[in-house]
Amino acid sequence: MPKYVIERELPGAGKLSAQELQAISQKSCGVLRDLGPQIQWQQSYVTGEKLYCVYIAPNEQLIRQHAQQGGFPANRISKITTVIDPTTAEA
Amino acid sequence: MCKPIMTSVSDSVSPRREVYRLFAASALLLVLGGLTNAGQAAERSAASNGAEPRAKLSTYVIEREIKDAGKLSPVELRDISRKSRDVLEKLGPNIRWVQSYVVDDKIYCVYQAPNKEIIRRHAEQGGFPANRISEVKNIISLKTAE
Repeated sequence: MPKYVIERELPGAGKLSAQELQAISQKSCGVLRDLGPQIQWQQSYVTGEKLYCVYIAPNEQLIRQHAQQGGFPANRISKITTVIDPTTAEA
Repeated sequence: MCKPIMTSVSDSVSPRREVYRLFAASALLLVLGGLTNAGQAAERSAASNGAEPRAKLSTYVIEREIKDAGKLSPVELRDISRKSRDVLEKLGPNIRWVQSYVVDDKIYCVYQAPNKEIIRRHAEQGGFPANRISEVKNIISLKTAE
């Protein structure tokens, strides 16, 4: 199953409180439950103005549907071709 | 009762033994002083590399725009990783590469570093683009909803 990086532009994202982040996460999880087991949220990096989210999904369309139903922006969706880390240098 | 005994012990120390004791104490001070200086020198040396020991590290996401990144072969990715690792080794222990997500025309890299500046330096020395560098304020996942 492919993995995707989603850029969500959200001004002030870095200032969201723990409660606000929890509310967003709950909203996201609710939509994910409705969409079924094929789409999975791995994790999201919250920065000042953007969230970088990593999802597992069968296609881009399902990620767009999740964003629409949850009311989240999805400014850029890119399929991950490879994940590399320091061990890649040893290959 | 104790006082006379202590006095007598003190009185029994020969002048020669006292000299030895003073000599040993001075030598110990010299050794300790030397160690402290060595420690400070090591810290100065690390600082000159831009790598202050025990610096507080933040997580950063770096967007690197690379045309056709998704088409890089495993050998090309290995070579890029080696280049990156070599520059990281030169920059010291305070900048760490966690992982990178390669997509069609970008690489999203996750690093730990004390500041953006050292990430820019790594990019310049390695010849990598760093189009956007953002400090990660929070990492959220399914657990955050609980």
